[in-house]
Amino acid sequence: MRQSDKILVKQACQGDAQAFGELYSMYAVELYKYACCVTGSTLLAQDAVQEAVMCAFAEISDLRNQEAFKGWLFKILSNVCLRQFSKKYEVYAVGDACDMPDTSIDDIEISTNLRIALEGLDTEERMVLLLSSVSGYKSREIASMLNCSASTVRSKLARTLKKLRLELED
Amino acid sequence: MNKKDKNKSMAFHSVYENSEMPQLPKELSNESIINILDRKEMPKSKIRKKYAPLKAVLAATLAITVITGSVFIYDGISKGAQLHEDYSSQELQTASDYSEIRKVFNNIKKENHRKKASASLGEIFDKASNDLATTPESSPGAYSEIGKTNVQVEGVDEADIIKNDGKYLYSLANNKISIVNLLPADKMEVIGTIDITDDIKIEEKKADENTQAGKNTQAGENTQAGNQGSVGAGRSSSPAADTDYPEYYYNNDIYASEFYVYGDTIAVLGKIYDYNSGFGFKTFVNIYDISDKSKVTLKEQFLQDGSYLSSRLIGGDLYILSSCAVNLYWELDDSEEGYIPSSGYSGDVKTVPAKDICIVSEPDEASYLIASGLDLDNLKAGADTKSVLGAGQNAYCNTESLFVARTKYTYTGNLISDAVAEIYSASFYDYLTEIYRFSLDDGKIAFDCKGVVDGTVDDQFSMDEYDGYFRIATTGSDKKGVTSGGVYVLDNKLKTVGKITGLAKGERIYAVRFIGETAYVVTFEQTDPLFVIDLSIPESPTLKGELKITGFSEYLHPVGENLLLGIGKNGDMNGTIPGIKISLFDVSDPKKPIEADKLIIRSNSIQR
Repeated sequence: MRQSDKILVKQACQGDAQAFGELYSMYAVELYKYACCVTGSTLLAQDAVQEAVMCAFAEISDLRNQEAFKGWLFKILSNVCLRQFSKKYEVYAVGDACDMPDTSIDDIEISTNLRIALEGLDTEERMVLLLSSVSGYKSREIASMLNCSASTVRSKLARTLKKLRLELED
Repeated sequence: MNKKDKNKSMAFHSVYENSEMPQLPKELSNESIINILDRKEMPKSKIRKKYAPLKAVLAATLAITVITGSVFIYDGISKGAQLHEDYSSQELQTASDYSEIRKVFNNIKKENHRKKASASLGEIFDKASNDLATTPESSPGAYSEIGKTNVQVEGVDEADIIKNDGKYLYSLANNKISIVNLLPADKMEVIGTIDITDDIKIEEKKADENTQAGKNTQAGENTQAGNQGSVGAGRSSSPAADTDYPEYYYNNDIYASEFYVYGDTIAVLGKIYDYNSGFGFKTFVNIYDISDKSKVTLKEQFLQDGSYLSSRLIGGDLYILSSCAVNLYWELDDSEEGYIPSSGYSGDVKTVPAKDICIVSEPDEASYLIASGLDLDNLKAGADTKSVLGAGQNAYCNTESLFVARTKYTYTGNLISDAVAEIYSASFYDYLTEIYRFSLDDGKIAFDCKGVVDGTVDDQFSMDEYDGYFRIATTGSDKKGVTSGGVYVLDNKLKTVGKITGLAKGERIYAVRFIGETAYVVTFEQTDPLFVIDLSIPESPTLKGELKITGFSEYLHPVGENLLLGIGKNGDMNGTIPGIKISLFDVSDPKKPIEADKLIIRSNSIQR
């Protein structure tokens, strides 16, 4: 983490919304992309990011290791995404009630390859996959984010990779 | 990670990186976010001034509370070993005044600073994983002439997004209710619609007038305190809110979730975001008169703090549950703003008296569970609200009692054990479920007693009351963090009288159904065991039989006497694979349950 970023985190910890906003803008695209892939919906992703940011701002004084700001933000976002499940009634109209937000990735415009990869995975599997392959977190770190044991993460990841409907290794 | 997995992982990474992504919406732009955050900060001086007139009301409440003589014993937050075997049932304790409640929050705040941030997030995760396993309650019952909402307990109606009374079909989508005349069947037509959003806007105007005329006793004493009187008022009447919130943001803030049809009345429940409240979301109940289907009128609007959780309708008595978190970063002062929930009909919203707030033992979560009862036949009778500080996640309700389960965990480790935990992935958290019972009568709610069992609860179907005994199924874990299922039987004082534990080591409970003297429990890790547990002797539950199949059920539904329908996920010997699996279990021989039939639905094919 750069020195200037550390100062921003410190300011944000003291309740400075501007500083927090600046930090947020560094990761905004990454957070949104992650939320899109996990929730499979731009609408849910937007809600999730917004809620996560508000939650993070409210709890930032609890952030012990200030250098871990990004991981902490992703952790909050992951939790918010999981919670989105309970909101499916509120977001989806009767007609599309069968498109459960956990498996459909209909309303986001992403490349076909990624769509194929994500289809058939549930939210937790997507999270483990994205956090590990894309964000490069260790299984122990993911375990603390998802509140389970590192071995569970490893087995889940192995299973998810097995499931991944990709023939990309060829 | 083996080499093949690593390749796959890297391949996925490159696909992800190269994938086009939707543009960051303007709602997520830096400016919008800072805007929201700025609004979240409450100018403290304003709050104090704003609620100064309410101090008189507060004082009066305190006086009443002293007379009722309720005693509050709060023994501070003492962490440490829990008595695992000796859970005795306890009387519930209510607060004597708001300062006691403030003390609790200040303690939690101190605790939070000590604990890792992950603690509270852990609870969120627990809640989320509970939600994951909760099956929608809207599949229509199969054996009645008119399709009805699938309910857990006979005589206790549950809300839904679609209801049908034989003549009319009511459905809720996008904050609108459509009423369809079903007869004659070949000429069905929409004869009425109710736009919930409109009614919430109408409330705004009303509150405005009230505020200007000073009619509203709660809010009217201060020109900007409209938010106490009406949900919407805070937005239009307070100077802070009418500045720069764009319109598109508003409609996102009203979430009508589900509704009831009771005679000529429709009650729509949902939540709404209130920017001026410390609790964020408020739960609303819009009560409509539908005697004239083409001209539906709003009779009353009931409001209570917190996000809408669940509700039940017993006869004409509507019980509403919501939960809300208290923002500990506000200064808690003598006014009750920000940490005492309120409820009431629109225009008459009042803070909940201290005697009606029950404090759980060792509250570690700064949140409330709020339960209100309304009589739809007699709205003038007012509402009864009770609140539990410390919250709860799942509710089971029969015609006489409401049970609320709260997951709680105690950290039993220390710095050294943390290091050990990292190495051996052991767990130093004790998971417990506290059960709170409220008695229900004619729209009135009363605190009753509480009990404690080991483990965490899955959903409302994990709880049941039968023949005077309360039964609950939980997933517990031992010192090494190995999970297993358990079923507990509690007497009418919520004291454990019998239990069976250690079901399916290393697995988690996914579905439970209590049918009379039998409990059916589904656990899952890689294959799905269905356990049949005999509860005919409450003191000694016994395992009768089990069945291992692939996939798992997330919801169990009785079909006739000897059949059980399971709805869940498809799987093979290694875990889940895409698809929905519907199993029909034959449980006529409890020692030998069998999967009589199954149906697998994948996105575009049905397999048997």
